[in-house]
Amino acid sequence: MNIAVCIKQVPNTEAQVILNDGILAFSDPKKIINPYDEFAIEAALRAKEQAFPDASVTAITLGPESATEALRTALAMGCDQAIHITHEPHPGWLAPLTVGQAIGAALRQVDLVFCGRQGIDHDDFTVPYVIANAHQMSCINVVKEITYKPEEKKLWVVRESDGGQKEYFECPMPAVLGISIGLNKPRYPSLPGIMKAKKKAIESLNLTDLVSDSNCTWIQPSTYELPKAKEACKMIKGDIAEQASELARILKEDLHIV
Amino acid sequence: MKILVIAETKESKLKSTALEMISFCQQAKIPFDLLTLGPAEDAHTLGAETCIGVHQILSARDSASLVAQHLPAYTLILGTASLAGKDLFARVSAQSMRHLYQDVTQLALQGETLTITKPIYAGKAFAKIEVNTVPALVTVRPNALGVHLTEQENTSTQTNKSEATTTTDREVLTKVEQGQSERPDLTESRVVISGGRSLKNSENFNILWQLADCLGGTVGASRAAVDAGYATHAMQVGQTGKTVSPKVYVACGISGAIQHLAGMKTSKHIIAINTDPDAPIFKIADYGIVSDLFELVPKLTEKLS
Ligand SMILES: Cc1cc2nc3c(=O)[nH]c(=O)nc-3n(C[C@H](O)[C@H](O)[C@H](O)COP(=O)(O)OP(=O)(O)OC[C@H]3O[C@@H](n4cnc5c(N)ncnc54)[C@H](O)[C@@H]3O)c2cc1C
Repeated sequence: MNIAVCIKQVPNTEAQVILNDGILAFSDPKKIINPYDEFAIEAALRAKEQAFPDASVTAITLGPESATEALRTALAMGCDQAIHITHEPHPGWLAPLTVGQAIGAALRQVDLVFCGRQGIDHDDFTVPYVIANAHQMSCINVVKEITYKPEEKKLWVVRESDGGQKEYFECPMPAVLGISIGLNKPRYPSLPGIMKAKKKAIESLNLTDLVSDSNCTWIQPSTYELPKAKEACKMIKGDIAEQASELARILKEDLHIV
Repeated sequence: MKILVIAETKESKLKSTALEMISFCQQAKIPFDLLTLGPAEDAHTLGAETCIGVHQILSARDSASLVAQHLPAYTLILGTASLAGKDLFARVSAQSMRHLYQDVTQLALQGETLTITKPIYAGKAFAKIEVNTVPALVTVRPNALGVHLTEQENTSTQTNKSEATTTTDREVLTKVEQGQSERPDLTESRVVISGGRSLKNSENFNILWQLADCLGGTVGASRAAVDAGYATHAMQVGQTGKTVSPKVYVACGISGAIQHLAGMKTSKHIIAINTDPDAPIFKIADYGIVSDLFELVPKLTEKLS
């Protein structure tokens, strides 16, 4: 029984974007694990603890050298081993189709795959589906609840859709689940966990060994732009009644909303 | 060159997100076909050459197979960056191995070259990308293109009611629980009233709902309010919640953390109500009121009703 969890390093959410001669950089070089992926790691560990005690949990990432840190954190949280798919540096980023193919190829034999619902860097919302397609697995994204039926090789999954709609699925394994926030409370790595993580194996694979050159697509934007600077905020003065009247007028007459 | 617009419907009408995509095709003078996932009585009148209507509810997997079948005939397949739309398009992309660009806010099609603009890093920057791999799949952020429909003289569109082939579904949808269907979706609403930690409990959110109802809008929340249990996850606006781009966004008792701004910065008009004159939310607001929301919001609702 193999469980995998796909994680990605993304820029710190506090960091500002800086544009210098058309080159994009961040005010803070620190990177974090994609916040949704933390919930995915927790979900993978709980799947093992609660339903599949003999399973092995592999954390997998595709990314630059620094992404090893993300894998070490996942190992410290309790994952058993890790795979790092490395690639040549590139100013753009890999198309989600290529990422999904690479991870799909690296996960040779797998019963359950957990991903974050999307990366908060490019919000592609696509990789889980491509992995699922590579192995003819079920795929459900924006998962809010999971119940395991290990004897039947099935899962009961609740997914959130638009307008707060909840969709209930009966889902055969193997399956890929895209995890949203609120499914669980990700654990912190423990001190012994951190010590143990240092000894756990990280297998290194190269992108070029997993995806053929013709299938490897980089997204290279022609230009970047920063959002337009906002004009100064118009402060509405006066007592409460005056402020409410003025705002009501603005909504009606200036913004034509009523 | 031709576009296929995948339209979402609600109560037998096209959703405004579909009208936005149709407006784009009309303005760019590019012929288009319409594929409606659900009944849409108004679909024929908007100038599509062909309307493909799917009248039974299909699973995401079957809808994806249907779109993938039609895909080779088009330069561009357009859909909505809703949760359902992104799910559908990701399935089509995986099945057909065609590249997908989600949550696009601008696009232009010239010859076979498609140029898209997509917010990255939660809207801290925009990337302009030239796409040469057609057919391309694109989902568009609701409210990004706007509705500018022009009258169509000829409405002689032909309708193929195409029956989808049912694949053996892996995941089986067993039950659907509707959200608040009488109110607009958070991501599509023209007006969003959001509340933060300062609301103190879930009952107090009622004062926001009253204002929202009076403006035909809906209610969102900051993560602090969601984490405290005052609002549901589905209501969270921000980098790890929903991205909204309404005509009017009213932030009530929200400090304006960078992760919150990420989800609402592209709103057309931002109104902030906060007791702290130095709250960062005022830096990106168009109109600001330094006041106690518990006094101001009910007063405003009263003035508007
Ligand atoms: C990885 C990561 C992801 C995150 N994702 C999100 C996200 O998606 N969305 C999100 O919102 N946050 C997100 N956050 C959290 C974010 O950093 C802030 O903590 C959060 O947005 C603060 O919420 P708040 O404004 O409600 O609360 P606070 O920051 O506590 O602000 C409360 C505000 O209310 C004002 N106030 C108090 N009483 C009143 C009153 N009576 N009337 C009027 N004003 C009043 C105060 O002056 C203050 O400005 C994320 C954080 C991290 C680290």
